[in-house]
Amino acid sequence: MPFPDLDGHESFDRSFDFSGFPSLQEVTFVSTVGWTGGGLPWIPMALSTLRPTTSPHLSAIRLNFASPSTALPIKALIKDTGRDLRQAAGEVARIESEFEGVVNVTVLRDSMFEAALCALNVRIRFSGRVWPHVDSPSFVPCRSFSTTGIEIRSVVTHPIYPPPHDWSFCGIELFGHPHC
Amino acid sequence: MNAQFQYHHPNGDIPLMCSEISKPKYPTSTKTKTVAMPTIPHDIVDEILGHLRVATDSDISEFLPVSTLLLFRTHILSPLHACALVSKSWTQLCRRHLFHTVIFASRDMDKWSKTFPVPEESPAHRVRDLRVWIGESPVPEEFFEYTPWFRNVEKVSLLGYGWVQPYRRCLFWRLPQSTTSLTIDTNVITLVQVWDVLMQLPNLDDLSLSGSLAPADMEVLPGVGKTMRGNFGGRLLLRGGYACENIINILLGVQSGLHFTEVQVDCTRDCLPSVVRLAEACDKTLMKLSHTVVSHCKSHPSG
Repeated sequence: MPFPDLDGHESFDRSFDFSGFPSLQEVTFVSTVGWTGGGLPWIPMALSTLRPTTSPHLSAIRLNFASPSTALPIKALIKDTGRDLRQAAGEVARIESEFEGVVNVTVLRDSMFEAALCALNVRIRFSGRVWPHVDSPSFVPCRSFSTTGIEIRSVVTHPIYPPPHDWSFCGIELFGHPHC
Repeated sequence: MNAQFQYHHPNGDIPLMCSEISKPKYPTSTKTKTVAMPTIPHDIVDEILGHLRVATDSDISEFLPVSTLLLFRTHILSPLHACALVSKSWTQLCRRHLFHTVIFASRDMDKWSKTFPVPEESPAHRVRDLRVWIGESPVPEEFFEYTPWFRNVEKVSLLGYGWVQPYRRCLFWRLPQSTTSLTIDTNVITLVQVWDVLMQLPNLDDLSLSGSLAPADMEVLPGVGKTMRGNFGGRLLLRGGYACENIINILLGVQSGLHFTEVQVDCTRDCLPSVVRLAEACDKTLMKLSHTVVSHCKSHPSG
């Protein structure tokens, strides 16, 4: 299935097809949304090929859709990646269901990314902390998360940035349901 | 450490770890009686010294840039160095760990040659992890004439950034054949040089390429991958300018096939088709795939 990029070209007609990887145990996708210039279509495509019959050893999926450090309007983010994020969330839900909990799906939290999902009314269970963009205007929308049913399952250390000394300014409960 | 293996200094409460060093005797009653104090077996001392090395290496390697690391190595006496001065038997044990990881920069080749004028008698055979600085103030090219002496090396790293001319091709290509893991993190070598390095390592399993490729006049790869003999059955990491179609094509050209169990590629979105092909080339063995899209930053129209 081809996907158009920003310039209108159909640059992707394929992605990882994991149905032919019998030894696969872990899959990690990291992408800074807004950097890719035209969405993340290959990620839900790849996730859609993960099935219990063809990936019997799969135990972990890690997704990190961090937002860029520079401020990016939520509307632009949704326009570019909204469809892919919806599809990715759908595939995550399917994988969790089909693999019956054997696969640990980790979606690293990110305030802007979550704000985009919130605006899309997409529900996904996150693991880890919100990495607040305190300088970003997108930090404000993330305060409406209490209605999304997001659940924090565990804490994942961000691969690049060290955690701040004081989480209180983030305004989000670290363990438990966000109430900000 | 178990208390029974600690001796107490007669003049204080300083515990000493001993193997063949002084064995103090303690009077246990009014009658003078010599107590046979236990001696720590060499293999346990060796194990402890090994942990010292690992701790030192990981402590400093993880967090310091290589240039600082070199400074650290040159000017700071590590605990392992101190242990090497305890006794002759400890010196022998320590040498194995002291020379496990060796870093060569601009002046180190000179020091090494002066310290060990007879190559056969040097501790080069003890080196398992050889790191070579090829950035600014690099190791002299003559160094690569000596690398065959490091015959038991398992891991080779070519490191360093800077505005320096790429190495001349003819002197660069003598790396130890025993190498199973190669790390290149630099911006001073060219695509052809990377290819040439890969060509000469028949036992290569792990490959880590990061940094950027230096521009060169001639970037034609003769017979890409055709004669590569590496196993390519370990971990592959491609980052920066090395996560490109050219490098992936080199790997895809390996006749015996790729058997990587772990692939981590950080690339721009444009390289995705190549990364897919790379993953598919190891489809039967691949256990871990990590794909990161890095900043191919387009300014957003509405941003």
